[in-house]
Amino acid sequence: MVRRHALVLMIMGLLSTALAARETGDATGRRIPVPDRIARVMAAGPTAAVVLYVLAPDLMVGWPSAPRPNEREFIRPSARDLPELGRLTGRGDTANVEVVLKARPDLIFDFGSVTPTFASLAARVQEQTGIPYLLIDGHLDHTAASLRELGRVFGVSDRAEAVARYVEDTERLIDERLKDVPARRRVYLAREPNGLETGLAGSINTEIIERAGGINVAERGSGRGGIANVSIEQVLAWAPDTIITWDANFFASYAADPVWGAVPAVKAKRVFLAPRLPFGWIDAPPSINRVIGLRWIAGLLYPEIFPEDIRASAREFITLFYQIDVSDSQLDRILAGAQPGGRGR
Amino acid sequence: MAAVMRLEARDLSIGYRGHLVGSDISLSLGPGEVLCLLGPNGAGKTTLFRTLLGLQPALGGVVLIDGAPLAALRPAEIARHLAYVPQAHVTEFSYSVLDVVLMGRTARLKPFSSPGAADERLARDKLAGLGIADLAAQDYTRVSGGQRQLALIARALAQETPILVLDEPTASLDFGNQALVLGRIRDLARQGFGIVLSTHDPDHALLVSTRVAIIADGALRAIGSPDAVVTAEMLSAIYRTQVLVEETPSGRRVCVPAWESAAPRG
Amino acid sequence: MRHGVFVLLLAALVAALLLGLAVGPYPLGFADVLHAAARAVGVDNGAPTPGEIVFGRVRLPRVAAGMLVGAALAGAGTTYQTLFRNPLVSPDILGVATGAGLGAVAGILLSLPVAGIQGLAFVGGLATVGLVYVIAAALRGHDRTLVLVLGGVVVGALAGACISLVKILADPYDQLPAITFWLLGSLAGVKLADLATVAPLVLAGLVPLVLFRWRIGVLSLGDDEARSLGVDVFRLRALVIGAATLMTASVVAVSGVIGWVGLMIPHIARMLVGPNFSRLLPASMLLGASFMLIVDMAARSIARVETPLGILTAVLGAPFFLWLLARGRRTWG
Repeated sequence: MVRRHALVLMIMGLLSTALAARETGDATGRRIPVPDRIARVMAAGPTAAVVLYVLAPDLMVGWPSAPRPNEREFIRPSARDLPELGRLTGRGDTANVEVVLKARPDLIFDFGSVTPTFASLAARVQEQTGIPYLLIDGHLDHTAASLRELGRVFGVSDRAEAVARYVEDTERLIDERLKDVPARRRVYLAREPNGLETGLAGSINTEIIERAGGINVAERGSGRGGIANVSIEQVLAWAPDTIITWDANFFASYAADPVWGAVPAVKAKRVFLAPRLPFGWIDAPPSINRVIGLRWIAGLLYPEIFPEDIRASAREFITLFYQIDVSDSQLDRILAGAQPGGRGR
Repeated sequence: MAAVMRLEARDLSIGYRGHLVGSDISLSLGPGEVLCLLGPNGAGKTTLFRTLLGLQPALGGVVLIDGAPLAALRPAEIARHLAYVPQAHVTEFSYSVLDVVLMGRTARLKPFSSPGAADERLARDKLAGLGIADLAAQDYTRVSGGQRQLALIARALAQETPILVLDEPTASLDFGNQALVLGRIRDLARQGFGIVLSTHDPDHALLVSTRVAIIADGALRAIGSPDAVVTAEMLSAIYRTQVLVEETPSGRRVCVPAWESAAPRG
Repeated sequence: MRHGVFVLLLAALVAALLLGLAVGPYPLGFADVLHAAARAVGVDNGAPTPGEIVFGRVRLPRVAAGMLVGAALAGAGTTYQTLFRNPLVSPDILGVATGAGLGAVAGILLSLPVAGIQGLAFVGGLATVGLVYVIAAALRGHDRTLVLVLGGVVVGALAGACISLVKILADPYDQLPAITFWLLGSLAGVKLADLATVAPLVLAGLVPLVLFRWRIGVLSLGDDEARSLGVDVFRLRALVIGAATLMTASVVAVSGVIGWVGLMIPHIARMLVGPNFSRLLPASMLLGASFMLIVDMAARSIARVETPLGILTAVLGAPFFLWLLARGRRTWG
């Protein structure tokens, strides 16, 4: 008799496990059923890919775009060779829905803007594939909360907590100390080999710079969107005292150009090359990889107020987020051109 | 005085690559002569013209200008011996009549030069010689068809060549203008020019030519004096319809279809 | 009257030039101009002020480039319209601008420095027209002009498809905005060094056009007539296409793809001075230079950020063309 009860209980238990699915909400307000245990996750784009790699690299089924050769050494061996699946969202949607189905993820998610366009895309893919598709708010201010939410869904709450706390600590540190800054630095972001493409103030391309206490000289006027082209005259008229770029060609050539030489930032030797390994420190992609950029820029702009050694901060960040160790020579390479007067502070 | 200029074709085969249009064509032309190429549409007259002018290569045989093979001459050299008068057409751009005539001076200019005052005087002279001096400043695309044809003749004259080649100069002209143009052709022959013209109207051949060549089905059917060649039998054969050649009271010969009576009775 | 028009065109150019030198985001003072002029004749005033640098190395080269680009595109457009006997032809008819675009976006994709991008653009433009010419030569026995045009359409379409492919492959954060901007045309990045390379190339292309101006006009009568008038049609056309392509490719390499100028300006010039190529070519070039100066002035003044030139020329060009069509002339100019 007891055995029969046990059998029934066992069957009921099994059934409930199979049928039990949680529901979770995402940033669009939808309630989406997801499996209790998640083993395979697909990131819809590069911003989500970084978050997934940081929080739960063992759950990754692939990369939207594979890591470049020079990035591979800074990525965990287990994740390095995962297949390239293409992007589902953003410009250049290349993922075939069939590819998605072949990868058999338990869950798809995207991390970034939550607009009606992206929401409808998410709903459409979910309908086509039957796989739950979450849209998570990727704004800087919402990052910690989003990380915790994802940690819950993926079942990695402890790790998510550690990462979210780091993000919050960083933001708090900066917000507090910025109060003591007497005068804000005026910063110009130079993109492209000629340095004349920039991000407008308030755009996702430069929000790290602005959050770290810099004033973006490229005020948003009537322009929409984030990126704009300017003439060198306009840069001179803005007269920034700091220039940040991640274009190696521009960084190599600006010093030889007498016109750039007239910009106050160049005269004061305050032109810096933003690190890009393994993911960009201020953009490319605009995701949680930028958190170290906050510390870096704050230290660059206001060294008296943020005296922390960037090498130590970088090592701590890389170890925590990307879960690898970096040697001194690797750090040298990452930070080439990123500090005043060369290596060391 | 230079040797007499002759345009000669010997055993000419004409056509396009892979497509023979005519063969065994021999003819010649000298100063004061008017050679008329007569034949139905599609007979190969245009192809023959283009071959004589060097606009397309002969498939066989040779064209000689004063003994020198055409194929060995550069376009500028050919243009100093032969002048081409195409059928009057409307150009894409609104050149003035004087501009059009001035283009005839191209072969006489040095490679990098443009026409100068002397060239302009000469151009105006040629227009005056044809009685259309007052058209010089007019838009070429807006004058009448006959006037355009005369302007093109003036252009050919501006080239100062001994031989003129005219492609159906009376096509699409009204009767008055046809008479005008034919009259000028006769005058030019009297002045010593050698003239080749093509027509499909046998009356015109009879009016102005000193020699007639019949081109039909890609062959040179006959060549000789107008009276000998333009006969009722020949015309009936090439036009595939009964034709009569009759003499008018004033002594000229005209061609008419061989119908029962002259006109329907009223 | 004959010379009056040219005096007017020259005066308009000078006015546009002065205006162009005066207008821009950086506030220049007269002192800056004087200092720059003094330095140019050897007077040493100590280190140059930013204003001097802006005038001498930014504003002046940009204005000079604007004139060069406008003149070259208008001259090439005039030449092609005469050559192909069609007033609806643009300098891109044989695909030079599209080919240059492909070269440039490939350079952006490969993350080349600016010189590399410009070099690839130049080579791309020349190679495209070369390919069209080879195709036309291989298809003998057909109307050469028609074959050239059709070849240009086909190769241009192919280059356009390759550009689209490059856009898909490009990094959407880093490269795609740059590609888009380049394909719309801008003079924002022009340096003195660019001028030093482009000006001789444009002049090299211009020389044959000026020397053979009369015979080029004769070409507009059609192959048969031109040949019978004594023009070596085959050789001259090859030379003229080469010259016009050289002019176009060299300016497109620096300014990006700017449409409508090569199509509109010859039309307006034809309305002013008639179709005679000897007069039309200089008139077009003067007009094109002035036009480009004005448009570029707008491009850097409408907003803080640069407005692409191609957008401005299209905004002006399309309505103008509609108006032209509405006038409904039987023939053009």
